[in-house]
Amino acid sequence: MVAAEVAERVRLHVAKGLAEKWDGFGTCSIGGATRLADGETFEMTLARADAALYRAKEAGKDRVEFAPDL
Amino acid sequence: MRCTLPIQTRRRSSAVGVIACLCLAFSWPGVAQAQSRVSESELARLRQQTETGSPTLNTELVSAIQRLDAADSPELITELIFLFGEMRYSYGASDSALPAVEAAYRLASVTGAASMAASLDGLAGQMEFASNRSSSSARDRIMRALQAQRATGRVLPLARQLSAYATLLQEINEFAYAMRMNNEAVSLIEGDSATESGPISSVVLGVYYTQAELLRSVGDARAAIAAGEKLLKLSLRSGNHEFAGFADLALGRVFTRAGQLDRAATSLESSYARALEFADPMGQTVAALDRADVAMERSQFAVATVWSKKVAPLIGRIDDPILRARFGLQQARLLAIAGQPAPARRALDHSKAAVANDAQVWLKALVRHAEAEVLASEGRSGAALEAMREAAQLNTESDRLTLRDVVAAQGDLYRLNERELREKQMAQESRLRAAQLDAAEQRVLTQRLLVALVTVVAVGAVGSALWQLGRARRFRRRAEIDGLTGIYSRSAIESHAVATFDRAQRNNRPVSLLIADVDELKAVNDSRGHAEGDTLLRAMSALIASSLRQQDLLGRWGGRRICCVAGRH
Repeated sequence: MVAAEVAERVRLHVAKGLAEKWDGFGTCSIGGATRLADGETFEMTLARADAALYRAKEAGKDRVEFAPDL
Repeated sequence: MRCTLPIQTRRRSSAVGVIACLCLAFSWPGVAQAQSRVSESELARLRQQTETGSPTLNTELVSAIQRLDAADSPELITELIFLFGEMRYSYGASDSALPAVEAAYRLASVTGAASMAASLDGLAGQMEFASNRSSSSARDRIMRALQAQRATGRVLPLARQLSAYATLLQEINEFAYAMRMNNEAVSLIEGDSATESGPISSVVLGVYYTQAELLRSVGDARAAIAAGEKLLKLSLRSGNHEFAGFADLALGRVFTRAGQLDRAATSLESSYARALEFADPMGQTVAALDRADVAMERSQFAVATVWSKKVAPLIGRIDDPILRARFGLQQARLLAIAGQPAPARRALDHSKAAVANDAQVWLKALVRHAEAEVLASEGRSGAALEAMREAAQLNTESDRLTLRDVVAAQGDLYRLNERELREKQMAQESRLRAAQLDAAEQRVLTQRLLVALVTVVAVGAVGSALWQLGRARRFRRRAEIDGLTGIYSRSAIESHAVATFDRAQRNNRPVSLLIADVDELKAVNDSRGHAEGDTLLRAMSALIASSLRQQDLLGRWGGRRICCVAGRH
């Protein structure tokens, strides 16, 4: 399973688990990134995941955005 | 049977009710939990995770506890609470779990589960002590648990209880009694053939760790080395590499005290490597700091600088003020030796201020030593010499105090005859006197020689400092776990993530980061209050944890974000 699918599974699991009690307020947005093999550090991958999260929020929340593998 | 059964069941169900209420603090109402019963295999997995440690243990245990009902066996209920209590205790969050442990203790008592009741009673005592309520009532409780556990004759719970008591006694400087208790634990596990093969329980490893530390405390280097080596061998045989790192640390410290600096360096480097592998910032800090001290004792200042540099990025995350001060003083000395008096003075003054209210003599000695080197680098030889002499005096005083506590233990436990003891004391005193006399003769020598001499005199203080440091170890998990969600704290997930990325680079393996952000946390906080917002965050982190694998890492990332580090699924 690729990481973007894992992220989508997490998002669905959260939304389903929290739907009833939280009345539409129990969702999350997820930004993801996979480390690039050419020596990318944690900070660099984090920056790309962060940018992806920002796009997920912009696009209307409750969704996954994954950083392109350049 | 028909008469007793309903009463039993009623008692049991009221205890379950109490436990369920008490665990509310960790619950997330409204979460669609799978309502399956806790199976034998789930319990086995939870036991295993308790042995080896796991970032999801908290959420999984709470989930299992929430699925308990009155129809479950008291054995299952009490064991789950025991595992839960032990985990909260090791994370430094005893207060929150103590009521549940008390309730489970009562349940175990009324259902006649003597060994579990004793374990829970003893755990409650350890928790009371950790929360600093009263060492005497905690001690009474642990002793009561010990007696009850003796009556059951079960080896591992009894060994665990003996070792827990020994640790408490070590904390209050009752070394002789502590040794006696832990020695009994050692003879128990050594007589138990079950430990001969198969994976070794963390109880057994814990007993040997306590043994090595206690033997070092009382100055029996040879026995401490034997205990440390045994712990290392058993940990490796058991595949428990995290414990092997603890063993290396214990060995490194006792080799340092015994003056076997080559072996000390090797053990400390190995301990550092293992702590790095497990992304344990406390383990890395302590091992690198000790390694740098060893290099300084050998006047290998370039090597010391290399190791001290490894501490620099970690020390900010360590909340132990003594460790921070030790690092600051080490920096001051290294800078002074490198001929940079101004930054050396800054590092010194900073650390000095940080521990100004600490009355421990060995620490004062350490401060004066560093000060002597800084004064020397400033060209103030007279003041440097004065500081050095004072440091030597403080050192003697510190050794005298340690010796006073230790002599009782030695006299009692090793049956050293008086002559041997006197000889030992005299040898120690004459060594210190020689160092002081040397100091007086060095007045006319150059600064460089002065520095080297201070390093020699510092040996005693370093020994005492290491003796003290054993205590920081146990509290290392305190800062690692976020109190609200039970997942890693920001600093812990960051260091684990960095280590995972390093490994991924070395092994050419894929690794991904996910940052999950609660969409409407602000709306929930504003409309329903912050307590509800906290509940939402907790619920979300539990759901995320349950949708990932055990080996994936999970941590808080700022107020409303959760960071996941995952390999290939």
